[in-house]
Amino acid sequence: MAGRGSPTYAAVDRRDCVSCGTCAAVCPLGAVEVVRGCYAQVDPARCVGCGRCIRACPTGCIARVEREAAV
Amino acid sequence: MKRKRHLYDYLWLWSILYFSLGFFNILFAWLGMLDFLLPLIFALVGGNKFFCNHLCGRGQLFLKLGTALKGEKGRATPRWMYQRWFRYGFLIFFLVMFANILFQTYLVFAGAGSLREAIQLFWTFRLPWDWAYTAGAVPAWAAQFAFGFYSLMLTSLLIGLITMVLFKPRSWCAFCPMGTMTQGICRLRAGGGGVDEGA
Repeated sequence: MAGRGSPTYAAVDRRDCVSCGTCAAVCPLGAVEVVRGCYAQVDPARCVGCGRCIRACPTGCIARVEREAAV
Repeated sequence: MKRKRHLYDYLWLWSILYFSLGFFNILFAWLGMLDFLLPLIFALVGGNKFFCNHLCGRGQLFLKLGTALKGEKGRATPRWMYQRWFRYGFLIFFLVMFANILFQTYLVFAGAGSLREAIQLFWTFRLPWDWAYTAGAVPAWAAQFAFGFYSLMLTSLLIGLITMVLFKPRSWCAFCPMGTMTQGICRLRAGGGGVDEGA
């Protein structure tokens, strides 16, 4: 998967997510999906950490996470 | 890397068309009921926000316009705008205003009120809109609903445009009443609020 070579990926704080899907709309790799209309979820294996979803998210609930830190 | 485009990616055109049509003939405002009913149907039947995520022409328009206007920059949406108390408070306010539109429609239907060929912006400012309706074309109550509903749609569009300019392109989505309502429904269906399970 494309994302594994990247040192970071995007992660969603579900508490502030309004599940609008803006992140999924701007993601060039289709790495984000809205789960059951409740929150967005990033597939770390596909995410390359480009940050487009982070910049577009209206509630700022997406942050960049180091891959090592997440293990 | 380009994401595959779908036909529904162009629904921002529908949003422009809707407001243009309503400018010339107010009866087209009735088509806006699709934006009210479809999100609810998707949430209630499918348990998802497919409408918000893929079919919302207004959200697409804000993203397109906002990105064209200032790229991917944009100040963060103020935190209070997406906190629960504001989102649900705005939803309740919105529903009360919608109920008022229905009540005004009923008054005209019952003959207790007369048709007002005007739209009301921000629930306060009345603008004459009489060129958009030919008297007698449809029952007066149907026209009254159209004027009221178009007022609601145009007001929310303007609020969305203002927040788009001030903050992130789709800041409106943070407190959109339909988004709040459908997310609430989806969370209820998912159980546990839909945010606590998994990692």
